[in-house]
Amino acid sequence: MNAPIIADGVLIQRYMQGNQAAFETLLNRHRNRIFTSIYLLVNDRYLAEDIFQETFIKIINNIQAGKYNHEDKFLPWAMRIARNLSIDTIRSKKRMPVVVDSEGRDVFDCLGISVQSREDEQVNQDEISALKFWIRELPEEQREVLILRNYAELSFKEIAILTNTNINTCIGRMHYAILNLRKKMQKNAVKIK
Amino acid sequence: MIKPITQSDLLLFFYNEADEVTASVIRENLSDNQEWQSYLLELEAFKSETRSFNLSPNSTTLAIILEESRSQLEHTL
Repeated sequence: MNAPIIADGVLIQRYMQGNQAAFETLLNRHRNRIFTSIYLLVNDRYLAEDIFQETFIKIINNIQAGKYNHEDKFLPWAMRIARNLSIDTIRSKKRMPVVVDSEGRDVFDCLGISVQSREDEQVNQDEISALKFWIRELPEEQREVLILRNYAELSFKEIAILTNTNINTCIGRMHYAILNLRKKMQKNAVKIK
Repeated sequence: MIKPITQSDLLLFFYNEADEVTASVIRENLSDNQEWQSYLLELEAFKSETRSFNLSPNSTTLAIILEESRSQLEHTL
């Protein structure tokens, strides 16, 4: 028989009372969906690692300062922090000058410093690259809803609150995101298993 | 009269977010509605294709976070 899943709110309470294992359970439960979402938002593995780390350090600080009061809404709260940090990072990255070589190419691309991860390399490169590419190609608002619903697993209601829109707008954006992504995949005969 | 079902309703139903009335109308009429079936199948295919992309942070990042959580705990207690 499987052990009952301990609610996020209970794990947070236990961590506040000194139980480090409770925090580890919480981290392990949500790490992949939060990390994948950050990665798809910023589209850079190294930045995603930094933002993920910063997100969880903020989470720890807030919990230990007694500022967590969202009961079992841990994931939407954590995703709000991650999303805000991602947006700030994208904005500051846009302000940073790109260092180009004599032919106008980004020198970091020429040096072979890429966003590819070891995990990426283990999976079929074509499939992953194609999917990332098509997600990146979506209009920003559609991409965000898709990431938050499909990868972060937030409900449409939670996404509406997070993005300061209404639920019908979120559903519409998701509908078009799916339509666009499927169309692009089929048009280019990309089959992602 | 049966509640008219939109694509938004089907999308919410697919993600288990439809209200109970809408969900039961969809469940009761799904077997007779080819259009709904193909839309839901399309959503299922889309979900399984896109969900294959699942990354994990690296072990160093996780170790830093766990170290921080431990040190905060020691500091607080």
